[in-house]
Amino acid sequence: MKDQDSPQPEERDSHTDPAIWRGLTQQRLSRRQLLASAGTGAGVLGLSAFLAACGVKGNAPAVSGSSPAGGVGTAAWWAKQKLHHTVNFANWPYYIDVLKGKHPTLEHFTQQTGIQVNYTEPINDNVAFYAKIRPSLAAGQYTGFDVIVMTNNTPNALGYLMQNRWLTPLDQSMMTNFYKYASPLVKNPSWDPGNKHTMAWQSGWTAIGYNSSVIKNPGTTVDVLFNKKYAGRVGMMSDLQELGSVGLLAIGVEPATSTESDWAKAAKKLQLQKSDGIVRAYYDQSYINHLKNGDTVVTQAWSGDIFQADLNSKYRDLKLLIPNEGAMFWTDNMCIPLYAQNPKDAMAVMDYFYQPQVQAVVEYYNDYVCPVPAAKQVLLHPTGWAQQALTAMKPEIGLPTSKTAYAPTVFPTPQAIQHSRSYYSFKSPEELTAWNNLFLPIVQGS
Amino acid sequence: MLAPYLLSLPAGVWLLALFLVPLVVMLSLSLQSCNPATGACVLTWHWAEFGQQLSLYHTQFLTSFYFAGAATLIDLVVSFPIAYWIAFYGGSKKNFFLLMLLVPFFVSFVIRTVVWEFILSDQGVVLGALKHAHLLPQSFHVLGTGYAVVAGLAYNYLPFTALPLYVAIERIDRRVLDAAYDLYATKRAAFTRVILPLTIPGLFAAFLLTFIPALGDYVNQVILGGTNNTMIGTVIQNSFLVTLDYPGGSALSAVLLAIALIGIFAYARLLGTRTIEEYL
Amino acid sequence: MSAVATAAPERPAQAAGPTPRPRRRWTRFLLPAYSWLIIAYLVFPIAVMALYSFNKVTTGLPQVSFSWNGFTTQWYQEWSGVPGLTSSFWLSIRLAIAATLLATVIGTLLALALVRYRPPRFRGRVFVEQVMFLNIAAPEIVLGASLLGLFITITLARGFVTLLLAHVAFSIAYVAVTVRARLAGFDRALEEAAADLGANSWTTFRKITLPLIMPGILAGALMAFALSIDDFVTSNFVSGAAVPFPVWVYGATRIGIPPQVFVFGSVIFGVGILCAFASIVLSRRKA
Repeated sequence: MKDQDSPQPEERDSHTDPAIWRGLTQQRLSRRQLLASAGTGAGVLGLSAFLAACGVKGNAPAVSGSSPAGGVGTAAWWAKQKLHHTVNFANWPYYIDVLKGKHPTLEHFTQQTGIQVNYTEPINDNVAFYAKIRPSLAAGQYTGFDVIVMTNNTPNALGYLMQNRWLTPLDQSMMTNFYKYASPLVKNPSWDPGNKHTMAWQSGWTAIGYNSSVIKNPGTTVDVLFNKKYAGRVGMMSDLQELGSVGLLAIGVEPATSTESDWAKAAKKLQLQKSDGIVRAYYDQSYINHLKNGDTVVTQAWSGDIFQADLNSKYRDLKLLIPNEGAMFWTDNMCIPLYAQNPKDAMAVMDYFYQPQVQAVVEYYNDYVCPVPAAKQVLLHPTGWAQQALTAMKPEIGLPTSKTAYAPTVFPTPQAIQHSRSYYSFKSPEELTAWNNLFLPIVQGS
Repeated sequence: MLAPYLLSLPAGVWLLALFLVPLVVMLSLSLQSCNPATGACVLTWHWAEFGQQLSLYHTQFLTSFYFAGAATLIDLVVSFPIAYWIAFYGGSKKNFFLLMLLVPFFVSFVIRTVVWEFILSDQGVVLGALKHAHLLPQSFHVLGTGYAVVAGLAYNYLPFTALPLYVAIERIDRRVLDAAYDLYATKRAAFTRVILPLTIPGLFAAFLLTFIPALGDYVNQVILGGTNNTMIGTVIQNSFLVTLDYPGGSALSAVLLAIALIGIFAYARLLGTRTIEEYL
Repeated sequence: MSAVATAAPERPAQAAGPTPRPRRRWTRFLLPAYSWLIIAYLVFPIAVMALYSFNKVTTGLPQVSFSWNGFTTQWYQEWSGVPGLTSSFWLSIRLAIAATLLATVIGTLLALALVRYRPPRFRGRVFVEQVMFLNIAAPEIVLGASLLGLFITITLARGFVTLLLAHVAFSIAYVAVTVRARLAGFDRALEEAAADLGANSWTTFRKITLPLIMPGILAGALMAFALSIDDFVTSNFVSGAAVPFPVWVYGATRIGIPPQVFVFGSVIFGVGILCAFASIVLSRRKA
């Protein structure tokens, strides 16, 4: 679905150290508890004190100093799991192929395996969803979901899930499609070495979107966001990870290897940007409306949004700039929460989405980075079921499949991969609190 | 006899179980210390939380007061004539007009907000036309300012003001008005010296019913606001849904609720216990 | 307060007394014009939404666009094209209807108690009023988060039931306030007259009280419906896998809102307008 005339990443001298290699050397998140929670004996939202006073104790959380309780996720445990022929899959709305009220890829999966997928779309925010399922996990209960999709740049969602060991370790033996077809960007990633807990769903870049009819020459660095010429017409993201990361890029620091003093410097620069009146507002995902409407002329932007906008003739002036410093590469990940009732079926459906044919159908509908490079060939020369599905979807999408195949933001070039930067991986809640305390006042302070 | 208790039993049970108890527990969180990662909390009687939160966010409280106050005043001024007209001149079409006041709010606020973003955009339908006619400077913008937030608040809370006002005005006994005219009152005198005083309790009730929820609002500021006008509702929202700082968010909510309670006590004091029963 | 207050008001100017007629005409134009203007202002964004629900979508992922590409009824024909959206819409409708029914009954009973009985006969009445006010005043996010905590503790699975419990909980106070305001103007003399004529309290309620307070009850029901169908914050916390319409739409904004969202919004609005017109017809019949 990409317009072939859409902007290529800016050409410039190549970095010698792609972020992906840095990610490989990243230390794994280590567990630490902020407060001794053992004393209360219950992890339920605030009710613990009340219940304790009434002499009722809640269930102890599964977390303790060792690996997940009962050897969950070990090879022996997986060997005992059976297929139940049903799986509860929670995703973000509108993030999967849709055709006349059905999901072709899911129907095909049910045909192939006999597993019924209860596909629902209750996730609209990472942390909000985590806040919803956290009490269940803390109380040792089934969350109601076997597969959920969480973004990697959410230390207080996916980060906490991993820290608290609230994800079921994946059955590596069932990940045949994954290991065969997954792109290097999502295999063994920095936030989950060895893919012990996650498999990517889709990815994207947070870079810079700008209106080329207003900004004729945006330059090649993030400084365009800090340019006084565009004071009052610059959009920044309210997400603290995105905001802080671009601040770090702006002071010339790699977010993945930054230190707390770097963060303070970045926060200072962002605060200055705000007090200079350069920022119009800190937006959530609605930033794209303001760029489209002309309220902002340059903004932090997701790659998929800009390319979807570009397909509309009215918004063709909107372009994506991937600065020299790099663009933050984020990934939405499928994972299995602890206490899932249908883990084996969850593994089956997760690995299913790594078949190139299946990804081709999903990708034709989506505009984000595909985790399966082989899907490109399927889009160019579809056969069998994929061809049927793609042909059926074409009237609504209105583009030849080759457009999606050749889109550099769907199937990234090595250049684009080199420009990808990883987010900082937090090692403890204290670190995250420090980050939040530095950047939250910028967004919500007056 | 048991009649009043039986009648209010369903509501009482429902509100007790599904409002009061969870609310008290949630508010007790403000005195606890929580692990943001696991959500495990310990009751530490951390009274300092209130001081901390207030010192961090007093500016946002003030901003909320300004915005909510402005929006409520606008709503009162705007709603009174329309409530008056529907009450006195609506006739058989009263329900129709009341419905027309409410129906736009059947449509989800997400949709309404996206549309307002479009309508109020710098080069959009409204501003673009005005700028084209050179009635406004090119750099003028509404979105991202406090004015947009107040306008959004006023828009979204209009029914909260109009409906109680309508109810208050509609209840005025026409015979009192007839008596006034019998005593040779002019239309204006009848209004200022008979109708208006009779609606004052209703005005106050409408004020409270609009001001308090508007104080805790956050959607309007997030969508329509800029960088310098964060409201306390946004802070509370961030506490619960971004930083997972439940004690902090609960402390701020407790303050908001305290303000609400002060409002209702003031109401009772100023207007006497009898009136509060009739208008809430 | 007599039945006068419950029927259509007489034009005050038609009562005896000197009335400046020219002024009356002026007010007769200005007030209505102003009121229609306000209604138009309220409806304006909805009208824009309805307009763009007929917008053609250019290539790519079908999503709403404010750049006009041409007229089409495609999205009305394919209204059920997006599965998650359609199911969330029906969920919202079922939820709103159920919550409205429950909240209206419970709220009306509460209003009756509050209006008719005073302390010391009704002990705790002031407390009840304050709780009602707190319910209206409390930030929704606190209500939602606290309810989630409760449902977890009693291990009640999040789904339609929890949504219904929550929606009724935040609607009761609004219904009670609205109905009670109507009730306060109700003349007990009518009920006493019925009792004098030999009716028991149930018959009195059914034949005298209920019809006369029905407009207030309907107003309360309407309020409850609007609150339920538009609720986002509380629903977000207490919904399970199936989410109501506003929650789904908000989540879709990350990728793009499908055009069918505007279709559903327009349909809801259209139904509301129809109810408004129906109310005119009904009230004409009554009179």
